[in-house]
Amino acid sequence: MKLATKSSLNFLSVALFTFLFGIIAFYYTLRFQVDKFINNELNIAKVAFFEKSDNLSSLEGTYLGACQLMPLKSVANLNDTLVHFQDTLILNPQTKKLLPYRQMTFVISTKHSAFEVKIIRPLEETDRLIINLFLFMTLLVILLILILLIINQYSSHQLWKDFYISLDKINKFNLDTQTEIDLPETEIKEFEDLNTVLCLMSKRIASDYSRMKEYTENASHEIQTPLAIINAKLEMLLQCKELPEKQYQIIADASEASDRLARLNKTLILLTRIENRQFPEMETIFPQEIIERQLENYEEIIQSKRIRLSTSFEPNVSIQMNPTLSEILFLNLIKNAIRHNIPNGLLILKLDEKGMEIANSGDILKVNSDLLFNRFYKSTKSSKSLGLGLAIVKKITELFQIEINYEYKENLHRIYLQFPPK
Amino acid sequence: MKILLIEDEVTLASSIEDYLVDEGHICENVGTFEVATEKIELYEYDCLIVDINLPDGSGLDLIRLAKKRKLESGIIIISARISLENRIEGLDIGADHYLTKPFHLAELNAHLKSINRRIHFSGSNQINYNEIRILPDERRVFVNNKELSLTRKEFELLVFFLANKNKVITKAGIAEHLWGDYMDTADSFDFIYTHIKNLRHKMMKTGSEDYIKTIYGVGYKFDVS
Repeated sequence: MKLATKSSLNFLSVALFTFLFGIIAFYYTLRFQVDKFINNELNIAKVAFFEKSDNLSSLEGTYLGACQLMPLKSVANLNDTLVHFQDTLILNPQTKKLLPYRQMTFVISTKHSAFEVKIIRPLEETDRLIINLFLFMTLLVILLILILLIINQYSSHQLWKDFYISLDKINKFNLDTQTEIDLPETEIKEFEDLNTVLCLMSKRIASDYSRMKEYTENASHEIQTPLAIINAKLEMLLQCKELPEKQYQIIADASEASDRLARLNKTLILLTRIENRQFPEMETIFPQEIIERQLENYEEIIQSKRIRLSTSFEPNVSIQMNPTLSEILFLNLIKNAIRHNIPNGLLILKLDEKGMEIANSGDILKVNSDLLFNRFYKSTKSSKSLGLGLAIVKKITELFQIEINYEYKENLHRIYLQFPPK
Repeated sequence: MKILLIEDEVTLASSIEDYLVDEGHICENVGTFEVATEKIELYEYDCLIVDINLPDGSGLDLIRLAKKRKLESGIIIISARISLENRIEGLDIGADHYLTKPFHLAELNAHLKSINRRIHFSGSNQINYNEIRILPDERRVFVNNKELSLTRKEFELLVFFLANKNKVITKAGIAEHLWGDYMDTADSFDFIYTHIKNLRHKMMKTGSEDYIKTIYGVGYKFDVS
């Protein structure tokens, strides 16, 4: 839930609660005040009634201001001198409707008899007034809450705008291309603090990252020379005449291991260099040329594995890429498709304007295919391959916005490259 | 051939020197830019083997110097730097080959042989050994004057063997020569075996001796002893 929505909801729940109680309290206060006013009026009418009370019978049914005197009723009890107020409904003889009245009841006594006096005051108008006032107030409060809600939403949207801009920038931050996050200035202190911290953090991460890359590259290069010495010494050792076969074997094993280490190191340097974007030159590359050249290079291997090769090229397909990396990209894909192929398997290559598909026969992957492009991923533990070929492919495709997908369909491992639109 | 080896790693230099001397070359070894400059200015060499990263200067400047003196010598760069810019720059200013460390001595030797042919037999580029005659430019091989039909890899293999006669060449060394850096050796060993079997078969059928010996578990040797 968004912060603005959350705070609006909080506001709304409190506001509705207060509004409900407020409006009830308002109604009763109003009612009370009006009753007091009416009672007052009735009291005035009572005073007027006493002024004219010498001729009681002539007063019956007459009006005293807004009040009306009801017919007198003789009662026995003289002691009841209290004045009663009550709301009542009285039938209007003309309209045959029950109308609300406030009624004042008291007893007066003459020399020989006692009468109950009822003075009534119509409430129709005041009731209408109360209802109108009540409705008006309700409307006003609802309107106020709505306006506040809208203002709240709008202003929080405005307030958080800088935050969302920052968030977007952090989201798009790429260590390979940027050294720090460029965050906009903001008037809000909290966000300004956040941006400052983020900027500092990104700078530190970027500098750590570049130091680490530099270190990796330097270390790898430094390893090359001692490796060269080991290789050369072992090769010299192999040239010794009359070496017992057992020692030959030992040297050969050591030599194989150091060769493997050398290849691994070279490949890691290549990966680092791709990540460090040290292949800036761009050229128009014709993949068909490269693919055909490489297939020729592996011709004999393809034949001896009895791999059935099928290629289809749309003529003059080109792509903007670094020439070295394009060689490595197609080489690795082709090598991969040959290495993991089975005897009498298929190797299918399709190239068109949109992209390339390379497919080879082989058993289904035993491990998650999402890991296929990870470093040091190997389909089988025993495989002597380095497990870096497809990691390099992935890195290169990322660099040139080529989309790469893998699928296992109809007993074929299929890798699709989707070239970026021109 | 008279070779100047400019390499500051003494142990590596000594191995290279031993290998080259064994091949019948005269090899001088210097470890600094300063001495190398002096040697290049004073003497003439058939080939310079130059390490780019020297303690007191860049091997690239030595190549420029040699080119300025219009020396006919071949130039091989050996460098720990894999970067393409270095390779391109090196080849641009006139180096013949660029080897990244670690390399196989047999590979270096094969390059030296091709430089040797370019310098000394320009025009009639041929490799001759007993009954074998190779025309590298035309990719043709004759045994007892009968032409062999070899595949590309078989041809490259034979030239590589003839450049490293009597030397034990590891399978990894052969694989790298035939398929370059990026071929995983483990995969290629079977193919090397097949190529060599076919090459031997084709050569012996035309009356050649059986020169190529298998050193079990290690590699192969073009045995001329």
